[in-house]
Amino acid sequence: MFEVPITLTNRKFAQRRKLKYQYINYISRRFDRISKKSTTTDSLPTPENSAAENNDEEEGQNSEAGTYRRSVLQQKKRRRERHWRSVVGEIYSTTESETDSQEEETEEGGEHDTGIDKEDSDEERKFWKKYEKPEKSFEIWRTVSSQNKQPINKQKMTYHNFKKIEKIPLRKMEIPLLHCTKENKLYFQSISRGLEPLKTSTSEVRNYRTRHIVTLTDLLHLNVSRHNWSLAYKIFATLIRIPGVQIKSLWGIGVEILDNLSNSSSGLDFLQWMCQIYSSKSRFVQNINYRSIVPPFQTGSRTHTAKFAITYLWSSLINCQKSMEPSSNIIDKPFDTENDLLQELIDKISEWVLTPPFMEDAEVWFIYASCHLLKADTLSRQFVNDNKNNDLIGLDRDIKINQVIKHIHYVRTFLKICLDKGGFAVPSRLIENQLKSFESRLYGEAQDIQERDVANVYDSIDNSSVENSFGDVYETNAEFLDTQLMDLSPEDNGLDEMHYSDEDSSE
Amino acid sequence: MSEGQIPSSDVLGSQLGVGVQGASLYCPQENYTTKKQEKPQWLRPVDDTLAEDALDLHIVVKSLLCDTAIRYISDDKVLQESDADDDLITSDIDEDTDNQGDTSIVVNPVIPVVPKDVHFFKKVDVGNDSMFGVNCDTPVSFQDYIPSDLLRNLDDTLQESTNSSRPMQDAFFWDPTVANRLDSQYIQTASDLRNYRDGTEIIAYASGKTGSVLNIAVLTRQNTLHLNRHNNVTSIELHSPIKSIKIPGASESIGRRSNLVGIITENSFQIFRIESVHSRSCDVMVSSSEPLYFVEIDDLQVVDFAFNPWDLQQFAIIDIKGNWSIGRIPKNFNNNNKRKLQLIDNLHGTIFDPEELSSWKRIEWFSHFQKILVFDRSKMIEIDFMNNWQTEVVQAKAWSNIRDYKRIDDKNGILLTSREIIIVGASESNDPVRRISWKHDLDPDDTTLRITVQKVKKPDHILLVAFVYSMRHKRIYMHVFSHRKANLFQSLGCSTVLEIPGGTPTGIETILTLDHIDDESRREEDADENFELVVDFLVKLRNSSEVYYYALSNTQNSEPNKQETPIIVDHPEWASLFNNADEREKESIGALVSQIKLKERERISRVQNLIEHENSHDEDKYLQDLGYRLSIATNELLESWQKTKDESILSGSLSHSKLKNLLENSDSFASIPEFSSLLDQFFQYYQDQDVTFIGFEKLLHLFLHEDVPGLDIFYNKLLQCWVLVSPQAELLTKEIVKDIIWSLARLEKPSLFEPIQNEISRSLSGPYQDIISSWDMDDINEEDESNEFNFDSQFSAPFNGRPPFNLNSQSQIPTIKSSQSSGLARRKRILKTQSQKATPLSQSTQNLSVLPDSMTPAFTLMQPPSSQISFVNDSQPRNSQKAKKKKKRIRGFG
Repeated sequence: MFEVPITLTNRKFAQRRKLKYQYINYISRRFDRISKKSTTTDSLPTPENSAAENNDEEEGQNSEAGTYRRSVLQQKKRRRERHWRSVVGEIYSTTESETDSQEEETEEGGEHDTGIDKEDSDEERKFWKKYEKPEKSFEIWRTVSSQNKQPINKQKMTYHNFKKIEKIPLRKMEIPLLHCTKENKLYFQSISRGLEPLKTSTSEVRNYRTRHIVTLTDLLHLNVSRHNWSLAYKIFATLIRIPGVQIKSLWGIGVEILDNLSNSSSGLDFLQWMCQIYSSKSRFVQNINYRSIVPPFQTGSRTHTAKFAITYLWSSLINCQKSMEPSSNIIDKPFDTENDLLQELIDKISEWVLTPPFMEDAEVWFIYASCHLLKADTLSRQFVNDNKNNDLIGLDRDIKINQVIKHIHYVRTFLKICLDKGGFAVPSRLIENQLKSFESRLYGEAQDIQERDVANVYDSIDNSSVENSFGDVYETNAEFLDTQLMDLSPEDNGLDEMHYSDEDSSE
Repeated sequence: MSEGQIPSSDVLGSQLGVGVQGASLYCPQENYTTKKQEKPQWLRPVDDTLAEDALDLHIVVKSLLCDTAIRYISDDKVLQESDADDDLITSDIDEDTDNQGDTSIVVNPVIPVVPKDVHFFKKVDVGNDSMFGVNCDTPVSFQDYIPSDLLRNLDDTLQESTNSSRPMQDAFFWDPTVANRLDSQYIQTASDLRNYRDGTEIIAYASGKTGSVLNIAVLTRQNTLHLNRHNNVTSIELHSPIKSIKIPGASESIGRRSNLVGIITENSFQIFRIESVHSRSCDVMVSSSEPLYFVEIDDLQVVDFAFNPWDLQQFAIIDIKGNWSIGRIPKNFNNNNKRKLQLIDNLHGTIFDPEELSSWKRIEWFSHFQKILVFDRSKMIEIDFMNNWQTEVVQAKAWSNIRDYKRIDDKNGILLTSREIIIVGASESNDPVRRISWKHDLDPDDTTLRITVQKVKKPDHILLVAFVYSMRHKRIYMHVFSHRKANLFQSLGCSTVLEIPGGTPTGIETILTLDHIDDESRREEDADENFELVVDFLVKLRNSSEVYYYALSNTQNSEPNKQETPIIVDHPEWASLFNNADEREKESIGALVSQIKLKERERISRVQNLIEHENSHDEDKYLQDLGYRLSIATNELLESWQKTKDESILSGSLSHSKLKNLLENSDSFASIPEFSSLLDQFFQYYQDQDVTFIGFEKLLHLFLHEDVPGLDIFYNKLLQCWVLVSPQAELLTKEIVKDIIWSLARLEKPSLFEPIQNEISRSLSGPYQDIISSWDMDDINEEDESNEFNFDSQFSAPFNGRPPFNLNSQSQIPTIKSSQSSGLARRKRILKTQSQKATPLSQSTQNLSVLPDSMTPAFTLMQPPSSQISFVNDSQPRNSQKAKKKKKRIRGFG
């Protein structure tokens, strides 16, 4: 019933796959030829034919064949872009990462070469060369736009035309069918007529060990759905110890079990272990027939952030926020806890962001901005409580105001980077309103204090002169940030902020 | 991006799965005060605010709705009184029935009635199966050509029928053109619209031996859903197997429902209109269009069809190669000239892909009246048939395939692939956009996965309960999404696996989620209470003719249901066995269960003893003692067999025994490897003494279907399977392995059967003895065996053995004489065989020592000189064999 976390290799199914793709290649080739001939043989000019001819004159191809070739050209362009992006990425990466990626590529190549027979890969690779293998999702999704729109394909496929196309491929397939078993011959005949197989490779497992893994997998999912966490933990622990079982395909259910089971270590530790062990420095290669690993939800690469890494970051952030909330009443202690947990996460993301694929992922930048947003919110709450406590006065107040302003600018900067990377939709207006509310907390309190101190103008001047005479480090920061506040153009703020962040990163 | 949305990828939306976290949005509070402990919240794609038990659904109601194998005939028509309106309707129906060409027998009424009512009786079928009736009235349309697709489909149906005749054999393939043959919806007729009635819930299903009878009936709800009280079902014979039945659901913006039923058979597409439903007798009056035969449109079979939700007069069809067309339904089916379904000339196209071999295709309207979605296994294409453009929105070739699609409402649909459940929404420009997805972890190679959705309305949001089912098993994978304002979709984070109880272990053919008419009072009640989820659907299992109604709930309604359902749900097969068993079978099952429990108790007691006594040193001593006792007992057994050989042979008792019977207390040890090595030594020692044992390898191969070289590996493999059962799995597995070994180990000695052969040969008369003696091998075998017997008996009991030895030696004299009298040819044969074997040397020496002196010269004079040389050559290996035997006997167990 459920997906099995191992690679099922079987001679029977390998032969079936070979027959299927061989027939598909024959029939698509035949279809392309006939579609070309049909356009050339048309003699009488009709509106449809004239339109088709115009299309041919423009593109020099038939519309149906042209659709495939257009897609092929688009895919080639995408590959070139991907290649150049990787080249650009390599400039930023260090030599160590280059050597590591090369070693990993050689290892992966070796594994796949041993796993795949040459005969099988020939027919199947011919088929897959026409199509792009998506990395972030299981399917290729396109948004409807003027570029994607095509005129409706109105050349109907009739029974007789299909018989013409089908005739020669079936004749060619008679030779390989002679060498097949009876079952595979029946399989091919049924599939070529449009039927679909009812049994799968999982249901026809006869190996004792694989049958055991199938049973454990079903039990694992059933117990997770019934919330039997202790038994699910035992099954999971047994299953990942069996050689050949891939933990990449079971990590989600493992996180679920560890989070719900109180005695064990948390899911965060497991996710952290996954991020450390399965590094994502290898490059995604289109030509390899990935049969054991499916990139969405299981792996990452130089251009694709692994799903478990994203899950690790979001879980860490949400856990930081939850851990800070209960101690919000106490003023002094939450500072330490904040710095311990959230600051560690910020430091970690700042390291990750310097390497591919994280530096190109908009979602990682959004998480980075969310961390600073959370920090700005928690720091700015003190000014709301300050009316009653009256603890923050003078220099301490200014220092904390500067901290909040710093984090607000970080949020804006990283949100801008996130939007520049593209491919990620963010309610930026909502976040901007949140940031303005944070600033209003600061400025509202500042105005109140200024009103109180109007009568004592002379005293404040004396204090400021005394501070300037001492020449503290905080004064220089204050001046720097004040100059930022005075600048109205966002570009200047961004540039200054980038410069400042570089200094921080160097530190 | 509008406010209230979750941040997500532009193209892919939120991708979720078990344990996966998606992008979230931090929502801080605007005002913080010490009085109110308001906390900032996250807007997350996974809504885990509900309790864990909120989605634990259990079966509350299970009832049999109808059986497609039963023909429902009502008996109340005869006695009904008619009204003026009914007369008008019946007059129309008479014309339709004449047009359809139904043949029926008129039954004379018992009570005299008005002559107009005679027309009712034409619908009564008395025992005749109309499938085999001859339609004399309808003209048979002559067709020159029958496409081979039809012939293949007929062959497939024949294959299916042959497979059904063999219940043990499973089918290997399934026809994707056979979609749902069961549908249920609310419909509104013209009179309902005029009288502002909400409508009637009807069911349409296929029945008959060949699945060619369309049945339409009214459903009623009284605590549960069931057929109308009259069991009144309208049956229409279509003379061709039905492939798909679909009742359209109209758009909510229209504010009405349709009254159409669409049918695809093997050779045509046809639409039926429900003209009226009689409120008292629940009689359904139906008119039909002229069928649209596949021969008229490109000879290809139509796979799927859809109705325009905004224009119920418009429909779309698609065939097995991806050719789609838009058609129009005539307004009135009663006009003979305009009953034909018309395909609009310009509105057609194709999504033919030579690389897609499957016949599975789907067509459905999307968020606008001129936009349709067309599917095959690897593509989803949006088509705007008015503006003449199409776009391939989804390409599913590399990692997954499309399995099913269902329309939810005007703006949303749900797409099932082999990897994910995806909610597809409409963007501002009415284009399909991926909203949220959930990775379901089901078998990606299962091509029979299907999905249905049920909408449950709550005060501030709508729950979308998705059911994923398959033809290969009876489990239902359920996942819930919530749909809030501003197109916010969230997942409830955990999935549930439901188990359909009862029946044979086959798959599910159809699950129909039922639609409900909204009740405002119900909504208000739900707001006050806790989270309550009630879900109901119809289920039709594969290879079954029964349609069941199920209602599931997460609340506990009553105690008896609670007591019964867990048993059924947890162990469906056991429950079915007990329910179907007779009293005698129940008694036998009880006896078996009691025996199993006794054995379990014994094993548990052994395990406890082993836990109490855990000393390897004692175990070594115990194994030594076990070996000694086993060998001593075996030796005694062999001696007793020899002593009582005559009695046992005559009485017919067998000379084999179990090793378990020789010993007491043979189970109190814990190490399987040492025990297996002990047995190996034991077997090797006694095989040299001509004692045979049963081989374990072949027997253990039957357990695991693999080659098991030793008992250790057998034990380890069993332990791998059972290690999760209990913390004492190791000890339990050891006990089970011991039981298997002791029950299998047997020994026997074939040499004990040899004396009986001699006695039988003596009891024969002279000519028969001559016949047997003419066979050289028999004589030699007898002599050799008798010598061996004497040889062994000397060592075991030398004094007792002398008299039978002398008797045997005396009996051999005539055999030698007979051999002498035969001639030179026999001498050569005897000498050759004697030279090949070692035993004749002992024979000659013993005979010389025992025989009287008068016989010696004759025996020695008869032998040729070559035989002497052979004796001399054989003497050396003979001596070495003696030495080996002595060494083995000196060795042993103590």
